[in-house]
Amino acid sequence: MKIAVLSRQQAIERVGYSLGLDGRVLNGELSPELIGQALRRAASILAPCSRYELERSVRQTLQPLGSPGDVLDLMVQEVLESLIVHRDLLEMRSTAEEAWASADMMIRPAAPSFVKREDGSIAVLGTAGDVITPIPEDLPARLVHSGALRLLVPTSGEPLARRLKEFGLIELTEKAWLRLPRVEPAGKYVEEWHRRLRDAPIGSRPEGLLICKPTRRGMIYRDRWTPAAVEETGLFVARRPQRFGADLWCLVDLQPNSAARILDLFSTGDTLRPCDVAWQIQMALDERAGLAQAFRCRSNGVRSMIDFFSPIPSWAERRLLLVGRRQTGPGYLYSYEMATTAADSERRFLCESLWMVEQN
Amino acid sequence: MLASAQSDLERHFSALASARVGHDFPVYAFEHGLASAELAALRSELEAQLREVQRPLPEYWLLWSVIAAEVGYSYDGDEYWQSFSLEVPSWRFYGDRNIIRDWFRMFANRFSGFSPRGRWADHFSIISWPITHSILPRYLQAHFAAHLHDMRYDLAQHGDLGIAQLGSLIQLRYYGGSARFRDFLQQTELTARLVLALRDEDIQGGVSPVFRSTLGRIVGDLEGHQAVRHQLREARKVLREARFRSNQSLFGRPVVAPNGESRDSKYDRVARAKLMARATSDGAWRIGIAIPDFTDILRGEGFQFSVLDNTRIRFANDDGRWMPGRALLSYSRQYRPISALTHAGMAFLEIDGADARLRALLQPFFKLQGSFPLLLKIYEDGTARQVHGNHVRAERRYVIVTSDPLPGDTIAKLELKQVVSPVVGVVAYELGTPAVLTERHFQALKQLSFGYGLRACVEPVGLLPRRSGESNSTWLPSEEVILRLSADFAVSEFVVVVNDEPAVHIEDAGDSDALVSFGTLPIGVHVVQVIAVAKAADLRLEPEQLFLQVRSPEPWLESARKQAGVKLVMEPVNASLQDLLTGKGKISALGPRGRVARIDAFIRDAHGCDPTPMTLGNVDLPVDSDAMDRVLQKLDSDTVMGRVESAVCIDIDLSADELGHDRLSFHQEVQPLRWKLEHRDGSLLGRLVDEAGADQAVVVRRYDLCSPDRYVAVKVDDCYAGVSVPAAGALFVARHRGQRYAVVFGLRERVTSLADLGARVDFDVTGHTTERAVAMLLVHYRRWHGARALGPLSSVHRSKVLSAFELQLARILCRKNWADRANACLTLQGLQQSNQFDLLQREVGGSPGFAIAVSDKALECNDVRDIEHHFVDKAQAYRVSSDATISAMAVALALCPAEVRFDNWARGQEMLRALIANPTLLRGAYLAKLAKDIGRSPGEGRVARQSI
Repeated sequence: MKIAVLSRQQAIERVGYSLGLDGRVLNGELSPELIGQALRRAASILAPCSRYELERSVRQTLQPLGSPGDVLDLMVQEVLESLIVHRDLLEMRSTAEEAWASADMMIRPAAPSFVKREDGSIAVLGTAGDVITPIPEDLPARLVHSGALRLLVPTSGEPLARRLKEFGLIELTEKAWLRLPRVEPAGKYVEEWHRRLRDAPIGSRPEGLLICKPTRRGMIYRDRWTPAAVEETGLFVARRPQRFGADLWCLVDLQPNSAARILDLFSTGDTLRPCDVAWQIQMALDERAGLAQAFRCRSNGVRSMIDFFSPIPSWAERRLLLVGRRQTGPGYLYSYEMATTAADSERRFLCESLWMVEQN
Repeated sequence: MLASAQSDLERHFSALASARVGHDFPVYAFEHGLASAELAALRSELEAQLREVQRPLPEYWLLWSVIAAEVGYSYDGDEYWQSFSLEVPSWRFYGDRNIIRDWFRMFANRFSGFSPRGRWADHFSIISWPITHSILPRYLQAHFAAHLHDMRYDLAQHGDLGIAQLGSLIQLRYYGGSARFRDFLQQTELTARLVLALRDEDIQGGVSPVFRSTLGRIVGDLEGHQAVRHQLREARKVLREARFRSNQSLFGRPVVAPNGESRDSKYDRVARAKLMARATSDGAWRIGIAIPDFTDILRGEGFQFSVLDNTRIRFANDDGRWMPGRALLSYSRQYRPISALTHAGMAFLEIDGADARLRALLQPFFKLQGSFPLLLKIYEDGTARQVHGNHVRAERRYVIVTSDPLPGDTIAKLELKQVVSPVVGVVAYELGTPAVLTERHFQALKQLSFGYGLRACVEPVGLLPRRSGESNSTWLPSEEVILRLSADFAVSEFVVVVNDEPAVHIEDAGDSDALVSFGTLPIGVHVVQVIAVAKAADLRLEPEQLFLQVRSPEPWLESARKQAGVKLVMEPVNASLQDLLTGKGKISALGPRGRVARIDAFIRDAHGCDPTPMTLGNVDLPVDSDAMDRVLQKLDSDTVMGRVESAVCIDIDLSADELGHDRLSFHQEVQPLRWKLEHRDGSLLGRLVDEAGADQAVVVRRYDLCSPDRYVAVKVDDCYAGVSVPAAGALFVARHRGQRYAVVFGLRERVTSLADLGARVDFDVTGHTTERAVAMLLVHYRRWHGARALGPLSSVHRSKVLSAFELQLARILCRKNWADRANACLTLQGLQQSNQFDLLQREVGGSPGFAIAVSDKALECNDVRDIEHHFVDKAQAYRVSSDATISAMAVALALCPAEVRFDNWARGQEMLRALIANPTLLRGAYLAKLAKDIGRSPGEGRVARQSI
């Protein structure tokens, strides 16, 4: 046995290899691809587990590898969010059989699967127990890590999708992967949720309730969230605290005298996350109030960037991922870069499905 | 040409045998070294010669052996002799199977050739020679590559085992479903040599267990399929790396000995159950158990999982519900919350029905280690796990689990916070230790029998460990173990000892902190001891000990199935497909409510490759067993049943996009004597396939549908050639060496009722005593019941005949009038059925409560064993019968007559006589069956009538 004392950079390289990455190209830094692989592996070990358990476990094992300037907490959170958006990991309600579950919403790995993208590349999703990326033995060397997304690019005429299917991966159709809700007017969408809310009993407002206030142009998303004032009434997307774990997403009808009807948000079969439902309701509420949320499109000729200032549901992000890649930068929450030829249909999609408007 | 080829091959094989003297490498006929053109020429010469002289000539015996091995290599796994006849067409007319076996025996004698062994070789006494002499038949190559890949790390670890042990390991560790591949693995010496040959193909010189050009051909064929190629390459890479390491002295010890030797005590310590706790959203601590990996424990001692089939288990202190023993496998490596915990041996599981050896193996793993109070450390994932040795460290968080409240002064000294735990018999406290512990802490810890030690702090870095308890973690051979060594005090050096290796001193630890790699470790349990040497001379330090278990990665398809968000649940767990289609077994499907899942069937041949799935339907999750029944009935259709019956394996697959899929596989054994239904010249013929070398030692009888208890003798040669089946169908039974090979052939005539089976189903029970008549009907029933069904409507025919037998039995046992009316009750509806049921119930006899109780209970029960249990109870309670054996037999006759056997006829006769003298008991049993069949109890009927 060879026992060796490692520097931080050497340790990152070796951890990278153990996680199925080329350790040398990590340059001794904790990158999204390394964190993504660490999260996938940890999810296979811990699942079903709560989001905070997964984050904390990975953070603690990576902490000794971080340099003083690293914001490891934030990196782990962001990469985990991306994995959930990609449906590499699934965030679902715990079931009655999961008696050991520690929270209402649990993370579990998606089944080993893949989805074809517009540019011909293939996104590999899910994990399988001890095998973080279950693909044929010759393919790991060809994996391209785009952030936390794992992509395979077929060579000309290569029947890559067929090989993956024969190997045992599930091919997800675009429809099955995106899980796009039907297109409908904002008013109708809000009314449907309002109808469900009216069936909820009236009770007192829970302590620590945060509501999302109507937007103003240029307002930062996180500034829209404020504690519900006693005199506040009306329909709001809200978050109510629980003793452990993240606040729950809900729809509230605030009534005088601190009364309220509250409806926790989720979708049938957990095909949508509660936050996805909440963000869509908020977009519909904003549009109905004449303050539709905006996106911005920038183009440099062949490439276009669509910038967002508030979060959009994960199904909309997945659709954008089919044609582009996500990036962050100053002046917006995040942006999707794509071929300009693809941008037109995506802009139309955002206007129709999320009632957004394009900002000049 | 044939003569020179014969002498060339004799020289070749003699040279091969001489080269292998002293190496224990037998010679195989497939190692002929001929090119494909030479083989083709040889085959055509032999065919011409056979056609001419009308018998295979003994002077070319070696050539025939080579050709036979070639057929063994390339045949499709279905029927050897048919494949042989395709290669040498005249063989059908002039061939002699027995002579092939003789020539292979001669080959074995002359050239130190291979001799097949084992149960499979005994059953397939002729074809086992050419098949094993082909080394690795093509149709098994994908199975072999997959198995080699799954076992690569285990094989690497055991590379220095002897041939016999290595082959046994390869055989023991196969958990796949292919019966044919399992049979092949019985040739343990062959498979072991093949593995060694594949590993050492790159070593030039030396003697290879397989002739190099032959091995090259097998490898070339294996690599012909992309997926197989990569599995093979990866497996060979791991084996070769291990061979290299082995030359430099392997370290680490095997987790388990392949031949069932006693296990390493380190392994037992790592493998045992541990107490765990997890905080709930309301601040309480839920307490549970990390269940050991029973799959590993059973495999380690060489047990097949089927050993659990006769057992049942239940969680102690829980709801007391017994579960099938195989549930142990599902619970393996799972966390299970408990509702109560007591001192009594800390046992949390019970087993019933296990033999002494199995019980002795499992019992230690059914209880927790230690006694109250138990110390659990809270880990990075928020879960608290039991601490081995109850040692507390500074600046850590713990949960203390005990049976009685702790004394007030202990609580005060340790600043314990009592927390809520829903577990009966348990009091729990949270403990947070300060950076520096003082005398008052030491005193309080001593009162709890907890120790305290100043030690190095050892934490895994980069990779989250798979924890199974304090100090125990599990890793894969591909994962590099990196640990961060640190201490809460100034350290001059760390001393690291792994297993029994010399100590390694790490002196330059910076700020008392070092990242240390242990590299990738071989499979086994490795004990790592870390001692921090303090700069201050007066510090008393204890070594920190870690147990790193390294195991093979689980095959990913199996893991994916386990983690899927959809599940198929079958009851009983070992039900056959036939059981499902006849309602004796049930499947239900679990998954998120509101999601839609697809159900497919994969009907596989001997190759086992993925056929086109047959979609059975889309269903809304979750799916109850009735809805699943409706979906599965598509397999029982005329068009599909023939394929199902002749398939080697049928998979039922449930899938729901990104949630994954779950699968139940139903394997069908290949019999050395088996029946086939073939289309020839526009008609359907039943043909007997003989791969047992049975020839004339077989007796064949035919039973027609309308006289199912009388036979007509059929010439066995006609059966080998193919016999026509009477209209509608018939049962054919071939007997050889006391074994029965039975099939019900069905043709296209539709049968909707018993009447359609003929003018009348006629039983010949005259001239016998009642007991004798019952016994004979049972023998016939078993014969029809155990027969395979082949051809359209064959399963319908069989079930109609069985119904006729059941009715005949009921008529004898319960009197004709009662039995006929009970039978008619099945076809009635609603109120009419309820009235008829009430009438039958009143006519059972004895106390009216007995009939009501047995039918009510039958409806609640899920299986025959439960019904029997309640029936025996009720028969005793209502004084119908105090003899439990007789009562149980009444239930068996009514509900599962195929299971009633009389090994001792004198005793059987006595029991039947006692039964027949107690019509109340018999009618009670038949009424229970009727209640179960029509799915309603008398109580329901009364309610229905009252509401009208």
